[in-house]
Amino acid sequence: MQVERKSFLFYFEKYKDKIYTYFYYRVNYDRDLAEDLTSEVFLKAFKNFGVYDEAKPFQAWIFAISRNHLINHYRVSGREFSLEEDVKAPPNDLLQKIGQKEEAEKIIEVIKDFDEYHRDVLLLRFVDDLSNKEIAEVLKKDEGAIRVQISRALNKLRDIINKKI
Amino acid sequence: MKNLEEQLKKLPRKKLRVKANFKIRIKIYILIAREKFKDLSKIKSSRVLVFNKSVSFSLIIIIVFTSTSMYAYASESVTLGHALYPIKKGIEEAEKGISITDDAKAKVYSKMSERRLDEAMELSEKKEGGVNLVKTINEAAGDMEKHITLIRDSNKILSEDFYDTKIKKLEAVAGNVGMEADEEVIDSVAIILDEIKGYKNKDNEKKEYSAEEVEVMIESVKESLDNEEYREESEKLFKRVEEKFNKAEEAMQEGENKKAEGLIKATEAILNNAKHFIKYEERSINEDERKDDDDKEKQEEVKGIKLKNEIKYNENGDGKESGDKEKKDISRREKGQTENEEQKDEDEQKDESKEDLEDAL
Repeated sequence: MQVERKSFLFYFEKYKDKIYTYFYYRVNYDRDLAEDLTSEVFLKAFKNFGVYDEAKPFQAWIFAISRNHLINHYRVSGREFSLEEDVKAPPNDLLQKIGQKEEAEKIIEVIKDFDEYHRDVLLLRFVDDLSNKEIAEVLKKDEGAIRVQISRALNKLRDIINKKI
Repeated sequence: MKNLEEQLKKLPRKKLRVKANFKIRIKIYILIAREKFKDLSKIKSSRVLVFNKSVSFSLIIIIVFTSTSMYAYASESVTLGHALYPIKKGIEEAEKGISITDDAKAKVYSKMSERRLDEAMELSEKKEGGVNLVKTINEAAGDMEKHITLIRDSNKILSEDFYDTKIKKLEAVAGNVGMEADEEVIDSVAIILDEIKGYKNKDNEKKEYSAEEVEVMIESVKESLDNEEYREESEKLFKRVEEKFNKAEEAMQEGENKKAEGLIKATEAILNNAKHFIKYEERSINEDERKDDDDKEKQEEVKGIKLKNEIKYNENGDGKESGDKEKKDISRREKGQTENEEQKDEDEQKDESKEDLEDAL
């Protein structure tokens, strides 16, 4: 296997923060754990870089690896792949930075009660900035189904927030 | 809440911290180095046998009975660059030539690698570094590799002491040449240390260990720096590593596989053994402190408590260092320096050495 070093480091530079953010939102804002998982994912990706098909988007590939790695992490650590009981609001300093603490808290508060699938599609779409097609590849679903699920999740989120207001 | 999608998009994104970023990149670099080295090792050129057995046997008969040859063969001070060195090497090659069984060959290669390491120590003590030292160390590495391969092929295991002895000798070499040595010298010492550690650790766990080693080294050097400075220094190291990789790639493209192999090994070895060089730095400082202690002992001798010191001397086994001190005193008298002036010079050299290290990072 001839590894193209430059291209892998290029991808690492481009996606390191995205993958870190992905884990950060899914491991209860635990920075150290998110960093460890990010490291493990990129090393795993490097080892499999020889079989990566460059015709396909790298983003979808690395997110798929990340998702599998997260599932594996929870399985190994004896927990379910569900954050429902454990999700908490992001740290205050993080929210204050963007000057929208209340709105963010509301969203996080509502999303934490969502089922895993709806929560994941919302985060992948709006926080991780993946296209519907990429989300479909990561979750191994049909693109149309993803579009529908995002729409449903948004409606659900909107209804709940409006009721709370 | 207006425009929910916009609100969702405004949820904060996080950035990987500098330290974590650094750690991951180092791990990736090490994996890359291993990958490239694996590719290159497949293209190893075949080695030419210099002496066939009959020629070797004749040669040994001709030269072994001359006293000059005997001296050349036996003396550690006959090193590369010495007029008698070709004779010494001729006898050794002949010795290799007449070794038929794997067991005999292993013994010869073991002896040769020990000799090369002793010569490397001799060269470094005389401050005759440079090309000769690099060649000697590389030869030691080659002979050691053959020896270990033969031992492993016969399903035997070498003791930890075997490796530790070699590491100690190389630490002595590194301590003698210091961080001000040529890049080639540092590379060759780092590489052979890396190889010995690799053999000792049986390779597999080396990757993780190395990354931690590098991290610890960086942490200790950059302890006093704030985040911004830390980032800058880290980038310097990456740049240096990057340059080496680029050179290696160029060499590969030009078909200079041996050169590329060397550059890649050197890069990985520097990453793996950076801490060792710092250790050498500390060690050399400790040696200076010990020498200072020796100075005090000398002064006490003058005051008439020689007997007491002799007992202490014997107990500590510091004979060599005291001898060094005497040589140092003579040298100082020849230069007309006072002790303080010489100490000042040493301190300046030490500072320069530290600056070199920081530059290297």
